[in-house]
Amino acid sequence: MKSRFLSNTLAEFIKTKRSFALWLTLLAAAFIPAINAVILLERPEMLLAKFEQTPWLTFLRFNWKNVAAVILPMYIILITNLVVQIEFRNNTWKQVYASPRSFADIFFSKLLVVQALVPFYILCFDVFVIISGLLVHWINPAYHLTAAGIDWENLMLISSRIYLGCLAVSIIQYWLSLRFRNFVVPLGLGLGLWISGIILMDWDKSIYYPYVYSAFMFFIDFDKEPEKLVTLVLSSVAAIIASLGIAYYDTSRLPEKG
Amino acid sequence: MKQAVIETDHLSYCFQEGERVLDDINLQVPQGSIYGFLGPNGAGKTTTLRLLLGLLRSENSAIRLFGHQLQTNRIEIMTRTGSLIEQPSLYLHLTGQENLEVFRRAYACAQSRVAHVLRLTGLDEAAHKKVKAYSLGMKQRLSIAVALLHDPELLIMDEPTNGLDPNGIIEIRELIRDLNENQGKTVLVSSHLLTEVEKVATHVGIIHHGKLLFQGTLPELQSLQHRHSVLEIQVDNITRAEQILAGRFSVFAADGFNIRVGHSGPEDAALINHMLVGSGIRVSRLGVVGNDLEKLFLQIISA
Repeated sequence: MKSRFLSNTLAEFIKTKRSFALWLTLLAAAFIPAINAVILLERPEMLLAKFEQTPWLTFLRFNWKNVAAVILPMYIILITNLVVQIEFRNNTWKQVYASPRSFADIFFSKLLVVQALVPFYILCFDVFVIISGLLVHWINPAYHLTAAGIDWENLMLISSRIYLGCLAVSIIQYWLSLRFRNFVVPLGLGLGLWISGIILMDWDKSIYYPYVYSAFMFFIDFDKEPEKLVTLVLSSVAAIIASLGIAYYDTSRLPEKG
Repeated sequence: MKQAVIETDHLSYCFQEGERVLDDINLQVPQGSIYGFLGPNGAGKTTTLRLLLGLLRSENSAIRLFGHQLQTNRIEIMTRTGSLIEQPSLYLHLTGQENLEVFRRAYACAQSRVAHVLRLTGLDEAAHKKVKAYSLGMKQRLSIAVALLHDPELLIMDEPTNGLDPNGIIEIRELIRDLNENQGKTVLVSSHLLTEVEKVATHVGIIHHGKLLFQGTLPELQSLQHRHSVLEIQVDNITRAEQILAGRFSVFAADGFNIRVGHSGPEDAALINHMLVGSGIRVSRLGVVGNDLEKLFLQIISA
């Protein structure tokens, strides 16, 4: 049973071969570090002072601030849509559901593909940030972004917190992508929910709104408000469990499969 | 009658409340048969096949395959069933071989089956080409290869010759016949063309407006066809011919030289000819009118 699930999950990865998934991941991951490298090199007179104390931490935050709030939610909305649309576009859902696989096998094997691509994106982004920092230092050593000084601890901490914050969104988007054949619907709903989150960020109840968790994980200063970290971690975990349960139940009860 | 591989017991289905698309369908597909499931577009063929494959959620337990209820034994049943529903379901950005590899994992069958089904469907040379570069006929053959991957006992095919050129239609027909005769597979194949089905089917089911109007063997359908056919006979004396045949057959004049006689098969035709010639009537032409299956099919569905 377990080996068949693994085999079917590998089959799901084969399906993404030659699709835009890998390119989207690499391009989205390289976008911000590339732009920020140009900004740092073009505006040293404005930025050098900010990088004097903690160059790598400042550089990490400089890159992550755009990604946590904008690029990562956008990437999740696009990649889940792309992975699920492979079946809709090729009219293959019916063949998948007519094979001797349980619904749980089908549901979770594809979800695992999404759940592998999102951390892969974060990993690629971190790698590109480091390459970008080292490149900036190589061209302008005044930034002090040396290989020896890379702040691995903060890099891991920021990355893992933001990943936890975005997990529920990736499951909700997966559910929406399974639910609607027309790719515009989950795309539009995802963008709408994300924009609503940006608007509602100052609202005191926004802690219950999963689309802002990754941004909160970055922007809240947990050294000053440590209790918010606990609340946010608990909210994120609760949102993951709830969205997974709802997505699984609702999709399994769809009247038509394929 | 052989044991039924597929049985439905008063199967009904609604997409929306009050809009019944299938009404009291009692399908019986015998083991080892090629069952032609006929009906015009929108008759309910695809809905029936989708229900048989568990692609439509249905609360009723009216469907049995291999003697087991579909609702409770879906996975076991699907390991013994291959399917092709409507247009090809293939990953166009992958090669033929990669498509088969994806489904091989789903069916948990041996790696050697991929090369085997590629050979069987004549696609071994195109195995490494992307499917989007395949012709429609090749895509259809690859879909059949997918359906055959796990060497199923039962094949369910929804309009497999749709959109194919005459050569492609003949190829698919030959393949279905070969799978049935040489590999003992039971095949349920739907079509809206009777001429297509009658060339290959051993059994026929005719569905229209969600109701199964006829079900039986092909000879039974042909016998029904004779009962609905009429002999047109050219004679030299219509009045006398009418008098001779009137006691045993329904006779009516068609025009100045022809009479039409209701009959139920070749034996009746021979008897009518014998009676007329034996009574001195000159029969210059005797032929059957309105007896092709296509017309019968239209009669059945418009009854």
